[in-house]
Amino acid sequence: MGSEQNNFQKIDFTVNGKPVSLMVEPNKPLLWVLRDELNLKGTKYGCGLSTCGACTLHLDGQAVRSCVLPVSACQGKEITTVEGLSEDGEHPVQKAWVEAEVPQCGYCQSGQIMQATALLMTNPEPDNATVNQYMSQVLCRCGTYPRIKKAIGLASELIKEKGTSL
Amino acid sequence: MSLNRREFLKASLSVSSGSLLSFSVITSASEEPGSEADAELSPYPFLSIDDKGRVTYFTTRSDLGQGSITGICLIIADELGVEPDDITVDFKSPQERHWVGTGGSSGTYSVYRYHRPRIAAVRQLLINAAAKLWQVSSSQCEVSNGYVCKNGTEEKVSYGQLVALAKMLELPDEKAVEVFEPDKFRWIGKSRRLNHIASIVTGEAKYGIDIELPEMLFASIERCPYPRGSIRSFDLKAAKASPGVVEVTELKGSGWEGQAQYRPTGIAVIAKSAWQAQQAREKLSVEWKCPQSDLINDASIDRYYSQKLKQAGVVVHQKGDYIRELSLAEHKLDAVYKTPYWNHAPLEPMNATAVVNDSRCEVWSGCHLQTILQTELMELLGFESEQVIIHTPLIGGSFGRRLYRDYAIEAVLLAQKIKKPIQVLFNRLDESKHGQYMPAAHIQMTSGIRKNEKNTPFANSLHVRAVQASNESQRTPETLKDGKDPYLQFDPLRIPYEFENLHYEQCYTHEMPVPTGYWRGTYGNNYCFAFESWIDELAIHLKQDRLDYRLSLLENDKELYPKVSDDAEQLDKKLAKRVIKRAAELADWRGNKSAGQGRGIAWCWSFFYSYAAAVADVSVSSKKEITVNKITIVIDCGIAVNPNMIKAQLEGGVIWALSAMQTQVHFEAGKVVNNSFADYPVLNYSQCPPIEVDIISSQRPASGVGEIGNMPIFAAVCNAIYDAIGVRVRELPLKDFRIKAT
Repeated sequence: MGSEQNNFQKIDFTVNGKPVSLMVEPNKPLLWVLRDELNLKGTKYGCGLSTCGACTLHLDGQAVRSCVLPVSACQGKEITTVEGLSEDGEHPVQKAWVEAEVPQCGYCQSGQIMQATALLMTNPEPDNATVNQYMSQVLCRCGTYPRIKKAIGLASELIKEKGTSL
Repeated sequence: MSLNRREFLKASLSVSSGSLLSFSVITSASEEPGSEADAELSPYPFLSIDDKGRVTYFTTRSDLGQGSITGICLIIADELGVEPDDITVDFKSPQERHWVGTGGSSGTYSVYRYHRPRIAAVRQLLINAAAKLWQVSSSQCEVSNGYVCKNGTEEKVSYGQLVALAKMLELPDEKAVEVFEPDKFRWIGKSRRLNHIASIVTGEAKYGIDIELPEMLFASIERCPYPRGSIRSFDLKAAKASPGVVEVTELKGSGWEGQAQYRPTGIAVIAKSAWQAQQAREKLSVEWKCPQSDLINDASIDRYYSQKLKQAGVVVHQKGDYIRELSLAEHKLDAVYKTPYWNHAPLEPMNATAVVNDSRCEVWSGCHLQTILQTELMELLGFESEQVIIHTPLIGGSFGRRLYRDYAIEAVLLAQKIKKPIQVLFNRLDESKHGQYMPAAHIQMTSGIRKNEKNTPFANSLHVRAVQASNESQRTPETLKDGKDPYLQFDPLRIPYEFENLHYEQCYTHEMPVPTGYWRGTYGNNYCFAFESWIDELAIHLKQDRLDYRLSLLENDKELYPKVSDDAEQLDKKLAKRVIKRAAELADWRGNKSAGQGRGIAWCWSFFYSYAAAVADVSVSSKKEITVNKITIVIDCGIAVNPNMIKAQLEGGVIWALSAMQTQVHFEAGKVVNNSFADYPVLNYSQCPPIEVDIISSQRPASGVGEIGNMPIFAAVCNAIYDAIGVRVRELPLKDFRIKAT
């Protein structure tokens, strides 16, 4: 059967503030590296084709689809997953998500939260058109969009109250 | 378990309520008082109280995103007299008296209606124990926050302290015990957050895909794209040589004919990681054979359905003399409404993890017909029920798809063969191409128009011919009773418009080689689309207001139809009219409209006894771009157990329907064409309209919620499009129109 070590490569990056060094197949998508090697299962597999956004996380502060991102492209980069947003679920976006009671099945929500957080990091008071353009990249089948809209508004308020950017 | 599978299914799958499994019937038949462990009081398998007073609810229902377990905890808290926070939710594998399964929007309401008397019996048992302790009459005791209190004194004793004594007493007959009246509810009716919301927003929530076992392997399966097809040839060499691959093996399918649970034949690639298995699978070379007759495509499916429409079907209801009435008509109006095959496409792809040895099988999956899965596995492996353990992690959406067991059976078969834990994981292409699709339908509506003595035109007849197949009758035609499909025949009967002459026929599409299944609301969607569009067409033809015309057809309070089963609740037209009027009022039905703006209304009564009415307000541009300005939806679901979650379900239902209105499953050369969300485009954030939900408060026993939000939306939107620009849409998905960002 198949060979064990097929072109493994050493990759160094930072995940949720901690340095990580791994021997991995360089073309393995970051999603699977996080789930398989680092036991970070909050980032979800939905399509593997960058069409649903369930696997969204932050690469150097930008929202990216980790299901199509080869781990080799992450050399030296900073990665934040939903597990790294806060110690205790107290990140303003997480708090807003609870307050607005967004989740139904919840499967897409780590992707939604990471997408919304990336938006609010650069634009704490986004207008409707910007939110539309940004959030349309992450799909939800349960239909939580009206509450995502509400939660983004709440998160924006919380950030303003805090007086700091994310 | 002495019944064989067929008998068991027959016993379990009650057809009395028509569209979906009647869980209420199943649970009341199968959960009787039983034994319990020493330190706990557990007269019913779903509930236990230990000697510390800890209450555990062993869920018989699954949370697929509807929040039903959270709602059920409110019901238990109120009826038992504890706080919701005091209830621990746990899951245990199905047992003979512990039927586990979720469907038919029954999760919360079935517990409200059918389990509450049992919870009340447990409460009474604790009261009786305290009364015995104090040597007083039970009527002098009442419960409060986990204690039984002696009336008029400060004395109280905790449930935990009563457990030992209560175990020695006889459980009161649930029929002799009174449940609390709604005015005593402390928790039911007040919104409460999803129990596990914190675990979702922090990423800690564990779904089926997140299950990890020592030495676990992963399978990705290339499946035959043709239901009646087979393998012509294959070359596994390259896949076998791919990194991480442990085994590549053929996996025989269920076959098509006679199989209620269809599972295709495939080639399974088993590797050390899911990604390696997927990568290696791309190196497979497999050729499949398809019978010439099965090389269907969109056009041939449409032709087949159109031809079926020309044949007389089996009559499922008739009243008066439709033929004579038509002969008296000045003219005849008719139309055909078409709906396509739709997919469920939940975000979490189908997956299951299994471990099998000679004497035990364990499965972790999102399948929410756990008892049926267990029964099928017992038959497959020759095991007894205690040898087949079913686990249910969190479920990343279902919408009906996870009622089916194909992925779980695949995992068990592979785990048995490889003798290691195996996780089967669908990729998105599998999800698109190997669904159990919402069956397509063509529904023809015909009415004769006459004039009354005042020369006013009216319609006094309705002929409906529907072409469709249920999952059951499609592959097991022996389930037809007198030629009628017991899973389909009652759906038109839930639409109670008063025409003197009615004739409802159904033509079944058994020959179509497309696996079908239940889908959020299933046939309620097609029938509501056809009937509610047709009533609109008639109103317009008769130059009547579309709202007033609807209401006039619901004036008569006499029952149009016989009860579909003894325990079924009958439609109350007063409640129907109330939701319709309320939706119209909230949506400013008669308010001013700008050019290109229109409103449409539709309503439905569902097999789970709820009423909903929706008004769509749309604007249509000259480029046929639709802006959904607003959807207003009103529900009467009896006692609203957890209002904010009911609201969420209705928002979800609206979005579900709008998604379906812009997408469909396509076929070419016998295969599904769609690959992913790129060519099965579901509604995205920007397209989501403002949705106003109103819950009519009622003292009626709780009724179902999960599948009703979508049913009236199809017709409401199409009726609104007509109102806006005078174009009647009779075919879904919308072909020329595009739902714009709001």
